[in-house]
Amino acid sequence: MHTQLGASGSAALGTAAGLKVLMRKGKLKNEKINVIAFCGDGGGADMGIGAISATLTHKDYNCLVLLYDNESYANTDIQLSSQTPYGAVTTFSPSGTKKRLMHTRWKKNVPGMLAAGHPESRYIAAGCAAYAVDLMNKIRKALELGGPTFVHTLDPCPKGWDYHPQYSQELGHLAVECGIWPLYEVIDRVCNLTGPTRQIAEGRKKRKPVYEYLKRQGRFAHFAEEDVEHFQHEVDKMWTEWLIPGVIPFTIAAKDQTILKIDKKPLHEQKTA
Amino acid sequence: MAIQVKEREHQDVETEQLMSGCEAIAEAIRLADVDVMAAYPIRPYDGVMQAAAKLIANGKMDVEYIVADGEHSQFEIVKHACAVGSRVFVGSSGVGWFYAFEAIAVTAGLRLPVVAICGNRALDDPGAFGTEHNDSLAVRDLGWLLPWAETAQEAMDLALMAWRVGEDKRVSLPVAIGLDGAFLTHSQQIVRIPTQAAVNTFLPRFDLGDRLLHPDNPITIAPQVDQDWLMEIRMQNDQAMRKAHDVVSEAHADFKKLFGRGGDSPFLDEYMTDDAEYVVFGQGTLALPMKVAIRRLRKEGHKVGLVRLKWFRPFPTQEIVKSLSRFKAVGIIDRDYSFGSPHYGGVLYNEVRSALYSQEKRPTIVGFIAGLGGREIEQPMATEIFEKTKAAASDIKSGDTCHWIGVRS
Ligand SMILES: Cc1ncc(C[n+]2csc(CCOP(=O)(O)OP(=O)(O)O)c2C)c(N)n1
Ligand code: SF4
Ligand SMILES: [Mg+2]
Repeated sequence: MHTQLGASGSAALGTAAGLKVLMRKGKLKNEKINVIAFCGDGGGADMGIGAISATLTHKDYNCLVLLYDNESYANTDIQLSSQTPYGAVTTFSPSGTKKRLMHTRWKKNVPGMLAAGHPESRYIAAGCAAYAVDLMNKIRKALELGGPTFVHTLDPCPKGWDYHPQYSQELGHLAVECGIWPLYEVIDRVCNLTGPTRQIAEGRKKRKPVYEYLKRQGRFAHFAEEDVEHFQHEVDKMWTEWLIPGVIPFTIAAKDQTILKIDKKPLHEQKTA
Repeated sequence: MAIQVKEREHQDVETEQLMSGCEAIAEAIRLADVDVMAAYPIRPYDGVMQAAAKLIANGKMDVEYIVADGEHSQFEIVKHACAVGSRVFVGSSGVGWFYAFEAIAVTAGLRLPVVAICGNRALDDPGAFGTEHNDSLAVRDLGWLLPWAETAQEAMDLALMAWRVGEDKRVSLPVAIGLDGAFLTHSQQIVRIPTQAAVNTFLPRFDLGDRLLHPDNPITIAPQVDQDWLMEIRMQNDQAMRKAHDVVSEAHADFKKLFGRGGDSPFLDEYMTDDAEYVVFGQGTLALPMKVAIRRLRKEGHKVGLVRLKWFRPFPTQEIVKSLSRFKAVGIIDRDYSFGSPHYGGVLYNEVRSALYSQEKRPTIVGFIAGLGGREIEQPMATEIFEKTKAAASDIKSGDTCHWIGVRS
């Protein structure tokens, strides 16, 4: 069933709620039915973010929202969304003689935001179609754990990113290997980096320079050296300053490290100060 | 699929209770065994959700009750729940109704029999909580059935009718019941509550048949059809709306048999029209002050009456032609506006005039805009409406005018 652009969260919720109550009342055969709602970055990360967020708080319903991120409103001829990377050319952000970069917002961190804000969702993950097995496992886990879950995938788009389709998988790999798109999953509030992202974090693999990724795509062809540097600098920050690389963008000040040693016993077992 | 019902077999065990229009709708939700409902706060419709939430909290009904993050989500949630076979309820008012507009449009396009109430409220801006019908009327072209209630009893009865008619396979269209904000949503009246057994007889279980979204029934819903198929599908909606007229009549007849209520006509409620020469025509709670005026004016010897419209969609053209052609002049009272429309009249005014266009015998139809934003229609205003209607009778062209009533200069 097709739904409206910003409605994937509500579609998942309404379908799951309907099936649940009909089975409870004996109006429908009781069986497990996976409910999956698909959306794009435009429909999910922009227009439908509120509904997805609400759905992820309804822990009694089993449904998965799967966000296909091709980094633009592609259907309507490649307009920028909150998922379009910094500086990229789209039909709403052309490069001109006066302004080289029309789009100067950093990509919104959707899976990180959803994981941070929805502690009762049992599974939230970031994947990439170029790592098919990793992605397949993520979808399986989301459906098996149940409750409302969310998987965000980066899906290279030859038309919008302006490259030959034969390089789709390579570009997906580069996005991850350059550290631009980290792969991870958050299971019951425990974050697990996956694939090359884990190897990078563990020091078993070195991040590639972002230029390797940018130079392969027409949407960055207008970049001057300073633009590449800025891009690299922002990605570096994800890996050097964020609490969890690419996932949680804030951290604790060095002078406050004692906070991490907070007494984690339940309240009734804690000694009074 | 006509339903066999015996005459008033359950009437004797009905109970009576003092309740508001909102609470009456909540009772209907319970009686209809609704499966999924979605709520979002906006006055005045949300009184229904408050009353329903209480019924759920007190174990009086088993409904999947979802508080949504906005009206768009609210209407999308029930749309999708309906597609998997749930009986659903939803509602809104004023700008909330407009926030849901996309979902409202597609629900009709999908032929999903969602039942809603629109607690009629003036649209912003400027702010006003009171009743005005432009929220409901905005969906008039989309394929929603639009009944309008006058009393709390009628609100409950129309809600039960709504599921019965909307879910009927010959119709399969959504229904939005108009409830005047405050005047009906929040004023209390005595309501007769039917028994569950009687309602079960009246209201069969919801069955989407081969349109059910379920893995055992692999279908696609809402595909991209473009110009290849859109006209055929639109015409099916038109046919469903045409059939709705008969299905409403059928349901009304059964309702009357079972519960003994609903009046003579499913579509029109006439008050003191037998010998009337001048009548006013409108919908919703404005009937109340107009009835008071009619009783007063009749004592002074004026042959006046009221025709109240119960279903705006499907528009009961034949019934209206038959009824209104008996009178010398008809004043149409619109609790709405349609800026820039023919003769700058309200929505009802132009629809009624259009219905009468090809009739040889037709009364003068004159327009009135009154009671906007919940302004009371006071007796001097009612008198003015009747006087102006009477004055227009001699010349059909004098109906090409729309009067704003009770506006300060
Ligand atoms: C409410 C609404 N606004 C705008 C549109 C027009 N529209 C159709 S598809 C689309 C692009 C969606 O982008 P995204 O969700 O990223 O999906 P993609 O096409 O990139 O796969 C837009 C804006 C619409 N269908 N509905
Ligand atoms: S290349 Fe693929 S993702 Fe990009 S616009 Fe075309 S179909 Fe969509
Ligand atoms: Mg997209």
